[in-house]
Amino acid sequence: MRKLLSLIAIMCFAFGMQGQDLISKIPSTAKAVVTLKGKNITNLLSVKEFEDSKIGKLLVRELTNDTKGKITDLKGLGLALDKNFYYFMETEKGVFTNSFLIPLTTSDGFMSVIPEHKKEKMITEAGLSYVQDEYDGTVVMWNNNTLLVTFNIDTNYDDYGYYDDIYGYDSNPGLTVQEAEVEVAPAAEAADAAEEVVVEEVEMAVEATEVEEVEETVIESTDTYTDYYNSDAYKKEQAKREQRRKEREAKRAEAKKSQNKEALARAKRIMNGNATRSILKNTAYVQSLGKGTDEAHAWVSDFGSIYKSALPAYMFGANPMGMYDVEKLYGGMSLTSRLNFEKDKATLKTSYQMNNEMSAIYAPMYNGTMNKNFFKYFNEDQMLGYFSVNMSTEGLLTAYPELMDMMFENSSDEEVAMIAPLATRLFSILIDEKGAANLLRGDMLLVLTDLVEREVTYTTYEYDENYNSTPVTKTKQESLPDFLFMFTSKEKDMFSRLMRVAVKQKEVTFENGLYQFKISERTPFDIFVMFKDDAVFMGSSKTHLMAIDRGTYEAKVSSNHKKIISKNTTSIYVNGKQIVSQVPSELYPRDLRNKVDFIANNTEDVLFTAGKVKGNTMQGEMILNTPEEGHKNSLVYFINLLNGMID
Amino acid sequence: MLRKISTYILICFSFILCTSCFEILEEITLNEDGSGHMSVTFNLSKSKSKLASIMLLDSVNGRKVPSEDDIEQALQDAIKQLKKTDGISNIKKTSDFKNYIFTISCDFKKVNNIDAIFKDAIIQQNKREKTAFNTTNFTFNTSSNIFQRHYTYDDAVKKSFYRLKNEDQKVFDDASYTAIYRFKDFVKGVSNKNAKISPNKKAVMLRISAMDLILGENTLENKIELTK
Repeated sequence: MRKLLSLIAIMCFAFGMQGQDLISKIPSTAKAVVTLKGKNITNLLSVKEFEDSKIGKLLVRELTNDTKGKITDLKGLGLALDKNFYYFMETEKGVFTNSFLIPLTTSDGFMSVIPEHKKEKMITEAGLSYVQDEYDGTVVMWNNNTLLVTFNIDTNYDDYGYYDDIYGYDSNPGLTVQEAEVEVAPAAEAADAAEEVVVEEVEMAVEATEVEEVEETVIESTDTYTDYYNSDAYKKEQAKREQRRKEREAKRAEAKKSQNKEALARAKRIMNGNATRSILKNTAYVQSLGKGTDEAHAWVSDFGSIYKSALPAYMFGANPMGMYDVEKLYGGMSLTSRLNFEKDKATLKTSYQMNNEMSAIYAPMYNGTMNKNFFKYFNEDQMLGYFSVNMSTEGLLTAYPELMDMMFENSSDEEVAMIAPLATRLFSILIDEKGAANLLRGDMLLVLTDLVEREVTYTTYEYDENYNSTPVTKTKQESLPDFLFMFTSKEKDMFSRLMRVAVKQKEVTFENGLYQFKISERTPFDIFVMFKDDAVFMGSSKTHLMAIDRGTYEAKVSSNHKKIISKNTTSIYVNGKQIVSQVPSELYPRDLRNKVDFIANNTEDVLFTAGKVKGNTMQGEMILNTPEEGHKNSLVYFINLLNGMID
Repeated sequence: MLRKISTYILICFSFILCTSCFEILEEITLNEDGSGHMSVTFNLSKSKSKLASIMLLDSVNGRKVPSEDDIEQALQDAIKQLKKTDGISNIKKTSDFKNYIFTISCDFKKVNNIDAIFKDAIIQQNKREKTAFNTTNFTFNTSSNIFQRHYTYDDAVKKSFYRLKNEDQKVFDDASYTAIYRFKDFVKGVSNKNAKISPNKKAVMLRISAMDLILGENTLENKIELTK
């Protein structure tokens, strides 16, 4: 029932948008849609506030200069900044069409930024004005409330024309196919065209024979010097090349013309819109919209169908990745991202939807268990950050052969399809998944526990009054982080044996229950290693590890950090404020040294997480916390930050 | 493996947190007849933590990190070049990899023998980078008793500097170039306003920050007039 209500709410929202929003112009076949939600953004930061900022003033100044004073503020541009801006992509037979839909309040502002030479080429028909670039076919089309910019990237066409002209190759079979598609040729013409192709091929074969004959003639007449480049054979060959070049050039021009014609027709179709076939009829897209409160939203449809439609026309039906089964790997996979500027944080949430088979494989890989004891060994008040990995070695090794089998099951390479299952079976037999998991369970945590100053020596010179130099040793402080790296392992015996070998080899020394590595005589730090309670510890602070060993370390980790580390597959946390306040100012680039206080007062934490597989979904999140004081919200924070950094 | 992991963790942070700077010391002791002794010292000791970390890697930002052997080889090549140069003798080199200090010194018969050492390298550089560095860096006029350190600034230095990544630019922030010239005769005057004459009037020192040299805000050019 709840699901049904949500669906109804989404549909109402979607239909509500339709009447006033440019989204109705986006076709339902779009493979990716990105939305910038003007209203939500301008609610957080008004146009006036932006114009009053340093970056806004710079932008307006540039605009005024570029338009020779015609535009003096952002309003003058004629953009409906409180409405939604869209980017969308369509793919068909190797042609990627990228389009931007921009809402306008009036086209006057836009007209004043168009260069005069472009205006001369402007065409207006049926209430639509447009300019089309003859070379790349880009269409800029507008009316009083919408601006559309659309361009194609055609993977069917590679510009090997020069070689084609010389050697008679055809590196662009897609060129012909597309021509045929655009201009639907009558059957008789098509037959003629086919005949022409055959004739051309025959000519090429004859030509190749002729070239060989020419070469033979040259070799035979060694007694008298023959200038090949002035010979009739050479001239004949050049003439044929020139003819081929002209023919291909004409073909290319014709193809380009029809591509441009199609691009223009597409632009008109978009501008005229077709609400009954708009993206709002695409259930997957509509479901991805959520409550619509985001500042930006991005959606990428089924990866499998993108791969298929991205195939060049001449490869249609073939497997783009050769030996991999694309449908198995990417079929049913889609991605949704949302950007939100909240009061005290900016968040980017990404949701990755996968098919049943892939989620069944990935779920055990990412289903690790974090060692709870790790939380007893660091103090969050001092830490600079952490990086956690919470995988399952056993799950990974069990699922890996299955993944390989699936990838190669329908391989276009028969040999690969036959051998892959054998290899993966052999891998399964040889690998002891449980044994490997005993050695490395898959959960590990790296914590930068503190930033400490270490005294290091260096040599410089002192000069007597007559400038005779004497080398002297001085000391200076260098800030280096202390770190602690922990991973779960049950192989204490193997660890001890390994360390004994290292001690014997004099790579390591053993003292106070810790193994000590000396990285280099020149580095001001050593590494200490130990094994305790089914975990390997590695760190740069002897006192920290000794305290852990003796059970005297006083930890402090909040439930929030415990949750982040335990519940996610991966997490990266950076304690920005702590780092900025502890790094000595001389380590900043020269330009920023006088802004250290400003940076310290305006830097908060950053967190990246990648969650576990739940159902068929995996979620990732990036959170940038922002200071509340002095900033209305996190978007305003970024503008204020730029203001502070621009001189 | 444990060692490798810890090495990489620390390398990452020493890149960010350890200072990196260097000083170059150019010393010339000139006899009355125009012969003398020269030594050039590259002192990277202040950056030794960072260098020690970098040298544990094979490459940084796609650039190969020279090994100790590579550095030794480069010094040997410099010695070879010196040996080939007329008027140069008593060539010595020291390399201290614990503190990253490298020195090459030699005796010369005439001041222009020193120019000959770098002449080919400068010509090559000018050809390659279309720069206009002077091939004559030192002159000594025995009749007027004037010793000159020549230096022409080329804007290409600044351009090359700005092409570097921010992190690489930081290396030059606290770097310096020190030139010390000692004479048997007394120094009457110097042309470079940043140069100092020693109290015994027999030596001149000029210390310039690397940034000033790169940006062309200061020069090594100096005309030192000696008593006859």
